[in-house]
Amino acid sequence: MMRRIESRIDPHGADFKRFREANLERVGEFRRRQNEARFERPQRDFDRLEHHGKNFVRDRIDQLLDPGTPFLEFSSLAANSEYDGVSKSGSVVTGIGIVSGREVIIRADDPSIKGGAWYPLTVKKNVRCLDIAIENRLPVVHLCDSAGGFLPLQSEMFADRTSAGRIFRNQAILSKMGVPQLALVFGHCTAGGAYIPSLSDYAVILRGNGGIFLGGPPLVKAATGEIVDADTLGGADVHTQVSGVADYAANSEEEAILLGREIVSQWMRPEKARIERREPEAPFYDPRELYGIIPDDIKIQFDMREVIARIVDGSYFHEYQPDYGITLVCGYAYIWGHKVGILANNGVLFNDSSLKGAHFIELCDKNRTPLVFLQNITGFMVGREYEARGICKDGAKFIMIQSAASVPKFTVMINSSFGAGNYGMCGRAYDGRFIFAWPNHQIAIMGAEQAANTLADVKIRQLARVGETLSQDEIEAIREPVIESYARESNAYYATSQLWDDGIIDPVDTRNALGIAISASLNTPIEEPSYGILRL
Amino acid sequence: MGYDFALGEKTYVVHPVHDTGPATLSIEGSAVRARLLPGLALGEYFLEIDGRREHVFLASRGDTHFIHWRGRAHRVDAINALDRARRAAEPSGGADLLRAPMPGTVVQVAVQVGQEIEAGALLLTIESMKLQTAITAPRAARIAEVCVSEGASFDQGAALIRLESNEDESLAEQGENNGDQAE
Repeated sequence: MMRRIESRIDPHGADFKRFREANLERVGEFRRRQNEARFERPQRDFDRLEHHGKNFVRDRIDQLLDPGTPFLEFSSLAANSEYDGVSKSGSVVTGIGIVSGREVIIRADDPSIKGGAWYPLTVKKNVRCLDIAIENRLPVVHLCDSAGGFLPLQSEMFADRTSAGRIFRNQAILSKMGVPQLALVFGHCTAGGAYIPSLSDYAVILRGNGGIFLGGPPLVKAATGEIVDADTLGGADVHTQVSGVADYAANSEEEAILLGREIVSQWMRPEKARIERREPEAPFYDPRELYGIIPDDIKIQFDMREVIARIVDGSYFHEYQPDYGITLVCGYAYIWGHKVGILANNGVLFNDSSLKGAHFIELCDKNRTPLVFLQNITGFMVGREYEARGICKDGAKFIMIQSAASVPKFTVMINSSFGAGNYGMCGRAYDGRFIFAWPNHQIAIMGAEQAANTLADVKIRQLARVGETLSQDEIEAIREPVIESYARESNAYYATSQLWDDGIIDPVDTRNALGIAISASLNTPIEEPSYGILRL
Repeated sequence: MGYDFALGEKTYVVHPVHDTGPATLSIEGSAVRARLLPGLALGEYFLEIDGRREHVFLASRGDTHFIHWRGRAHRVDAINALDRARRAAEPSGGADLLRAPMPGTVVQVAVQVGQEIEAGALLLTIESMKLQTAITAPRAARIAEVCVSEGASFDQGAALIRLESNEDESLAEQGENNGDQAE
C-alpha cells in the first residue's frame, strides 16, 4: 500500500504550455526520423526486393509476432549519424516481441539496405541484442538475409573483442545456458553469417532465395577455380537433405514464418524470478502531461516526482528518506504490476544524496526489488568544502553498491547525463539490463561551456609560463570548436547512433517500455546479495 | 497502512489483513472475507462478502468510487489513513529563514518584502552546477526580508529569504476549520 503523489503542476500555466510546445516539437522530430529509418527507402531498393520475391523486413516481423502484441524495438535510430545516414536503424532490426506466447528477441537483417550488409554499428547492434538475450535469458529468432560484412570498413568490425566474432560467441553461450535459438534463412548467410543458422538449435531455409555457405560462388571461384551456382553450393535442398546444416526447407516466406511459429511453440516457457507484484493500474496522472513538465532549457530544474507520477501504477509512491539528501528522490512504486525501487535526480549529487542512493540500493537488493534510475544529473557537487567532506568517497560508495547490486537495473535518460553522475546513476558501463532515452536528453563528460573554458584555461596557463598571453580572439578560437563538437556529440541522436542506449522513446511510452523490459528481465534468477545492509 | 472510507455521513476504517486471493478485510474491527469478480459489462462486478454474492456496478475516478447496488447509487471516498494522519499532524509553520542548499548565484528574485505568498510559490531562482534551481515557499507566509540580490554569489548555507507568519490568515484558517467541524 502506498500513497498517491500529489501533483503540483498547473496544466494551464504559461511554463506548461511553453514546455509542451517545445517537447511536442522534439517528439515530432523523433517520430519523423524514426518513421524514415523504419519505412523509407529509395524506390529502387523496394523494386529490388520485389524482383527477388522478398518481403520487407518490417513485414516479416509483423507476420512472426503474435497478432495484437507489443514489439519493443531497440535502437531504431542506430547509426543515424554515421555512413552518411545510409544504414537505417543500423541495417538490422532488433527487439523483444511475443511469438507463440513466448517472450523472444527478434534479430532481423534488413536486405533493403546494401543487400543487408553489416556495417561496424550493425555488428555492435547485433552483439548488444545477443547480450540482452544472455542477460535476460531470452530465446532468439534470427531472420537471416545479409550479404555479409561491408568490406570497405572490415577493420572496424572484425578483430576486436566486441567485433563480429562476439555474435557467434554469444550464440554459443546462449546455447550453453539452455536458451533456444531459431534461424529463418530468407536470403544468403555468407562467411561468418553462415554460423548464425549453424549455431542455432533450429534452422529453416527458404528454397530459392535461401543460401548458407562459408564461401559464396565468387570466393570459391577465386580460391579454387571451381564454378558453382549458389543453390547447388548451399541451397535449401543441399542443407536439409545432405549436409544437415539446416533442419527444414520452406517454399515461401509465409511457410517459413508459420513453421518458425510452430517451432517456437515447442519451447518450454521459463519460470519468472519472484518479486513483489500486484494487479497493474494506469497512472492516476495523464502521461501526456510529461510534455508540459520537461523544460525547454536543460538548465531549468523540475521535480522528478512529477515524472514518477506519470510512469508508475496509480501514481502511488512510497518515498524513502523524504527529508534527507533531497537532491536524490528514492522510493518504491509499481510499474505494470512489478514492484520497483526508483532513484531519480532532483539536482546535483551531494555527500548525503550519494549515501542515500547507496543505502536505498542496498535495501532494494535485499528485498529483491528491481531498480529504475531516472537520470537528470549534471554531476556530483564540486568545490573545496565538498572535497573536504569526502565527496569522492561518498560517490565511490554509491558507484560500488550500484555496480554490485544483483537485482536487474533499468535506466531512463530523462534530460541530462553529465560526468560521474552518469556512473552513479547506472549509465551504460554499469550493465543495467536496458537504457532508454528521451529525445531531449544530453550526455557528455561535462557541460560544453565548462569543457571549453577548461581547455582555454589550460592554454592560457601554459603560455603564461613562458610569459605570453592570449587575445580574446585566440581564446574564442580555442572555445568555439569545443562548443561545436559538444553540440553535435552530446545530443540524444548521436548517443543512440553509437548505441550508448537501447533506443530513444517517446516519453509517454516510458511506462510500456519499462513494463516489457522488467518482465523480460525476470527470466533470469536473481542472485542472493552477500552482505547485510550498511546504514551509510 | 489502511483506508478510511467515507460513505454519506459516516467514515469506516478498513484494513486489508490478507490481500491476495479472496481478501480478508478488517472493517471497523470485524473480519470480513471479500472478493470482487468482474462481470461481462463495463463496470459490472459480483461482490462476494462472506460467501454472499451481490451484483454491483462500479465507476472510479481516482479515490472516489461510485457504486450502484440494489437500485441505489452510493459515493464512497477512500482516504489513505497515513495521508490523513500526516495532514492532521502537519506543522503549522516551516523554517522562517530559507538558506542556500548549495553555493551559486542568484538568477532571479521573484518576490518583494511585504508580499504575501502561497505554499509552493516561486521565491528565487538560483544557478549552480549548470542547473537552475527554484527556491519555493515551504508554507503560506509573508516575505520579511530578501537577503540577496540578482546576480549576487553566495555560499552554501547563506541566508536567502526570511519569512514571517501571516497572523490574520492563520486565524482565518482556524475559523474555517471550526466551521467545517460544525457542519
